Amino acid sequence: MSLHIQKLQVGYGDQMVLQDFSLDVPAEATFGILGSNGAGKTTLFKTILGHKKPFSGHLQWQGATLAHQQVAYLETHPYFMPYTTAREYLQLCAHQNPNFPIEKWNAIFQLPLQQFAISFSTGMKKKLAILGIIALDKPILLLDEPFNGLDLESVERMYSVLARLQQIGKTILISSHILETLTRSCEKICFLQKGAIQANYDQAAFPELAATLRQQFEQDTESQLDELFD
Amino acid sequence: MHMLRTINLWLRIRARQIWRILQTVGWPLLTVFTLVFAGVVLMLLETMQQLTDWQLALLLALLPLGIHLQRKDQGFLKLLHLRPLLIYLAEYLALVLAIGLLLALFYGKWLIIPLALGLSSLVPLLPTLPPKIRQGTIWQLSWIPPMAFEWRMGWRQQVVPLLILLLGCTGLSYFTVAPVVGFVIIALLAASFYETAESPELVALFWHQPNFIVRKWWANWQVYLVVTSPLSVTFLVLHAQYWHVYLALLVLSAAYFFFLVAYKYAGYWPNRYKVYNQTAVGLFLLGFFSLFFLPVSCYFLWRYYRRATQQLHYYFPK
Repeated sequence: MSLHIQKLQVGYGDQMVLQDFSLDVPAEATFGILGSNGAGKTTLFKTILGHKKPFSGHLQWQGATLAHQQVAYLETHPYFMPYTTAREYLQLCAHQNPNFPIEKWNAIFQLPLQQFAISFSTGMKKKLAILGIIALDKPILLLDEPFNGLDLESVERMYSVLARLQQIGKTILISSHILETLTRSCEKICFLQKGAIQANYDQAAFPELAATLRQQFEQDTESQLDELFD
Repeated sequence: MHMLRTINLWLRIRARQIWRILQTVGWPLLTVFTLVFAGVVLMLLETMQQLTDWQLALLLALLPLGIHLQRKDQGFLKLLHLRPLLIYLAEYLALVLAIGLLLALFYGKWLIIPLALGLSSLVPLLPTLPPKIRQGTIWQLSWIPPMAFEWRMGWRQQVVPLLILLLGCTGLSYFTVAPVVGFVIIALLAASFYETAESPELVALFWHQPNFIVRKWWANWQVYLVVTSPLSVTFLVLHAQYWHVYLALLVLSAAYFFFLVAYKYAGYWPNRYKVYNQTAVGLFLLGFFSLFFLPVSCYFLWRYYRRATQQLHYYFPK
């Protein structure tokens, strides 16, 4: 039982972003999608969410066609309505889950819920959006750069929250361009480059992934710097 | 039952939102507004008395239509697993019902309520006009000065409606009203260009120039005049007898663009990327339609210009 993505072709106009993209994400797992800017991570998430229609391919969840109502998505830059408080935002998110304990969850991040969400700092907005995702209570969570803008303490708290969400049965996909955040929170990492999977790594192979990336990027950068400084 | 609860929550949040926006105007100003607004509404009601039930219902349905065309929150609602169609329907029906009841009470024409509700229920089915980020070739638009970069951004986003308006209104300029409508709608469309704030680096780039706000306004207003130049030419050639109308349009558009620029920077802080100006623009424009409101519009110009200068001085000390 898993989230099964088969031969996905997605693009904008005549520009293809994901080509023949296939992936199996085991249910109740935390899965990392690693890739540089423009690799296709956000496009993949938007396709799973149903906001981007693929040219071809299939998306299945637990053996049936994926219903987009089963997916919650954390945007890289979450949007909040002007002149609405953080509490109102969470109330809206919890509309299908009226027993969601807003105050108890907020104890983790301690946000000033009576203030306007739009006036929050980047990190606070991210924390609020994460609480919103949890309030939506969906089996599949897509988290686009969830660690961006978080302070040290919040990052640690975030790792614990993710671990607990996985324990209660959520399937989590995290996209990031920071390797460390993925190796700390994921069981498996898929390395995406130019819309195609380069390789999948499980926990045992994480050091190998880190070394490969370091070597590749260092070589590229060093040769470019050599050209500049010679 | 669940859906009703959600809609109820949404409508309550929207009502609070409106209340909070009104609060930002300030109570003294709001009291003046309410009194003057009541006067204007009474005058309008007198004029509208001759309208038939269908015409009144159509007028009412135009209210949600105006809101609907400008909506940009479908993505947000979908992320929250709220159905935009139902949410919009609930909002529009609530709005039309509230105003429709007042009109029905005033005129004793109760038929307008079901008619207006029926027409308004079709509005959520219409597409919205959100700005689209175009892929592919990027127009350089080097004829627009860098200080008016809002127009470069706006032109790229809204090129289709802008061209349709320009061509349509120029083509129909045999009718006096057509170029005037073009002037007004292009100006209204341009308000959204000033809803995106630039990075602090870009502000700092121009801020050192003396009279930054005034220079910025001048650059932006000039671009507006260039964009609407086909309308100006046809209007002045075909309807030269109404030169005073054109003069009025020039003065009003100058004031309007000064307000847009000042308002953008009045609430500026580094890394703020969104400035919501629709309500403020709406209030400012009331002065153009009614002399009662003119002092308020003038006050707005002065107030936001002062605030913008203070704000920029604070974040970018010279």
